[in-house]
Order: sequence, then structure tokens, then C-alpha cells
Amino acid sequence: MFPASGISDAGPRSDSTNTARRRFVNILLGTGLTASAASFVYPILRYLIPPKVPDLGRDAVLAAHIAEMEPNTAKTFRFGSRPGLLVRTASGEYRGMSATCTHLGCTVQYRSDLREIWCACHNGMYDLNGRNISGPPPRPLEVFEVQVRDNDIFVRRKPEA
Amino acid sequence: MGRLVTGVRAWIDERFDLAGIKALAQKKRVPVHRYSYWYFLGGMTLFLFGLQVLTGALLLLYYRPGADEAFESVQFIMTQVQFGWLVRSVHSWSANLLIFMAFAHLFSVLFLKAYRKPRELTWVSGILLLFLMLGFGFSGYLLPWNTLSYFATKVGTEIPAQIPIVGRPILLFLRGGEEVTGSTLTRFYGLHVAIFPALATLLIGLHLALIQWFGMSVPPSVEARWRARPQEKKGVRFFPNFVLRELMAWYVALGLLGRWRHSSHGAWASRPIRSPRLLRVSNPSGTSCSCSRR
Repeated sequence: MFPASGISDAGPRSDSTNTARRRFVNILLGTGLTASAASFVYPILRYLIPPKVPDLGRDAVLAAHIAEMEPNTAKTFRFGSRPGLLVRTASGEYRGMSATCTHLGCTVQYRSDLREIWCACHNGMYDLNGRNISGPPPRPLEVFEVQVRDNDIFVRRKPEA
Repeated sequence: MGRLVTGVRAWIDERFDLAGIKALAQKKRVPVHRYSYWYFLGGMTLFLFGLQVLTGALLLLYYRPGADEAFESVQFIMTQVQFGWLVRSVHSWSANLLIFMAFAHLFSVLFLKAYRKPRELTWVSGILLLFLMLGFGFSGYLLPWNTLSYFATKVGTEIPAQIPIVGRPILLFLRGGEEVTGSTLTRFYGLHVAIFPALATLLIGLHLALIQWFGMSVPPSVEARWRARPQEKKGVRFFPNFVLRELMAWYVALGLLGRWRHSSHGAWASRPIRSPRLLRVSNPSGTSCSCSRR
């Protein structure tokens, strides 16, 4: 074990043979180390990707009960992992939409004084159909389907167009 | 590419004495004799510790301490996270192998009499490290929060409680209360991921600095022979000769880890599934909880 010098037994071979052999061994060592490093890094990178939280899909979410919704009020509810906004307009209609502002992701709220939807972060405004009408929001809010069954108000994603 | 490397090297060399560091690395030699293989064990233990740090840091990304969440988060790691089973299994098995290697290292140092003057402090720091590693093992064992870990901790914290006078305070300190509860879990978690790693960094630094300072110990029999016939004295450079050999040994250890995982994965994975709900111990009254129901 442990020869004092790796090439002491090389004997009378020429220097160029030794250099070639050394290069060959170095390439073997280098590819071996690189391949094993890749095999360690790959699972780690995959591990770092967070697993997908199951999406709601078309499942309906119980957003509110009839009793708690006066006209010209709104309620924020959990829609999967994100907030949703249920608005009862002054005329008594229900409107459901995503409460995540399309600008930078703040949670929007209903302004009963303006009868519009307002984002407090950067003063973005949406109308009651979720359309962005002023301020920085680039896109309308995602509008959901609202169903009233008995005393419960259910909200679900609209079918893909 | 080559020019970039040269450029970076020159930049560092202008500021730090790279050549000096390189010379130091080349100066360090490892004695060569019939017992040289035993020199691998310390490096192997260090390698496994590094593996523990890496996999432990990765587990921190998904593990949640707390009586309500710990078990589920470990299950999440095992079943949902890509390669989570691998990271956790390697952490668990290499912990076992680490303790084994630490003991093998201890016995090699003992039987080759490497602890003798002037290396007493290296020995002492090594013994302290061994106890610290056992502490890592004990605290980490509770973290999955399954039946086995619960009872192991219950029993393990009961043992020091038998010491007269100080026993009970020790038990209260370890459990964070009368019983093993979520408070014990957060305590052990803090020890396992913050306090013990800090101590380990200090102690390993000291241990390695002492080894660097004194050089490798040569067993008395070999030393006597070399004194009689100095021409027989042999050694290899630490870098790259010894390091590359050590690297081979590390690959063998990784192979062993893979082997173990495959042969016992089934039983191991089913263990926490057996009765997780029993462990929702939120029973501060001190009466025995439903845990004894099996």
C-alpha cells in the first residue's frame, strides 16, 4: 500500500508516455468526480423545488352565508391557497372574484363608499366586474362563478373558455 | 476559461499568500506504515458530519417543529418532496454510520496510542465531540415525532432523572415540563439545529487545528523501528496523495449508505405510519396519556 511515489515504478518508459498516461488517468478521475458531483447536485436541485400544492380546479368553495351579506358589502374568503372576494352590490347581486391584485399581489378590498374594488397598496381600482379601471393594475381580476344554494353562497372557478 | 482561472488566482495571490498556503498543504505529510489505514477513520467521520450538515440544512427547508406539524411535515418530505426520501434517509443512516465511525476512530486512536503526549488535548476534544455527536443523535431522534421517537425520548429523559438531587431539574430542563410534549420537541429542535452545531463547529475546528499543529501520530512500535533504522521512514504528501485515497473511502461510505437505504426502506417508512394520532400529546396534567395504547 501507499507507494512513496506514484510513478517510481514507471521504469525506463519515455517521458512522453508518462505524460500521456498521466493525462489519461487525470481525465478518468475528472470525469468520475464530475459525474458523481452531478449525481449529488441533481437530486438536491430537484429537492429544492417545492411540491405543487393541489389546486382547487373546479371545486366550489363555501364563501359566505346569505345572512352575513348585506347589500353594498363584501367578504374576503379563502379560495384554495389565495384569497377571494365576494361582493354583494347595492342592487343585491353577488359577484365573486380573486382578491389578489394583478399589479403586485396585494389583497384588494371593496369600497362601499365608491362602490368599487380598491387595492390599498398602490391605489389600484377595479369595477364590480373585476375590470381594472385606474391605477397601476395591468389586468382585470379573475372573475368566479357564484352559486346560491339555500343559505350558502358557493364560489368556483369559471370553466376554461 | 484558463485565462479566467489564472486571472482570479493572480487576483487572490496579490492579496493573500496563496503560494504560502499551497506550500503548507504540500508540506503536510502522512506517515506510511502497516497501520496507515487507520488514519482514514477520522476523515471519514468528518465527511459523514459534512453530509449531516448538508442533508440537515436541506431538511430544514420542509421540516416544521411543533406537536401538530412535525409528523406531517416529515411525511410530506418522505412522500411529496422530490428526493425528500433520499435526503431524509441519508440523514438518518449517515447519522448511524457517523456514530459507528466515531467509535472506530476512538478505538484506533486508543490502540495505536495516539493519545500520548503531546496529543492529550486532541484526545479530550475528540471525546467531547463524541458526546456531542451522541447528543445530536438523541435530540434528532425525537424530531420525526412518531411513537418510537416519543418513547425513546421519554425513557431517555427518565434516565438522568434518577440522579440524586440534580436529576429532577435535569429532567424538567430537558423536557421543558413534566412530560414529553411539544415543548420538548421545540427544545430538542433548538439544540439539534442551533446549539449543538455551534459547539460542533468550535470543537471540530479545535480538533483539526490540534491535529495540524502536532502532525500525525506514529504508533510506538513503528516509531521505535524508525528510530533504529531511519532509512525505512516513509510518508506521502497529504495533498493530493492522501486526500485522493480518503476520497475513495468516502465513496465506499456513500455506497454503504445507498445499500442500507434500499435494504431497509420498507420497514423504516412504515414505522411512523403505525399510530401517529396517539402522539398528539397535549396533556399537561402529567397523567399518563393515551400513548400507552397500542
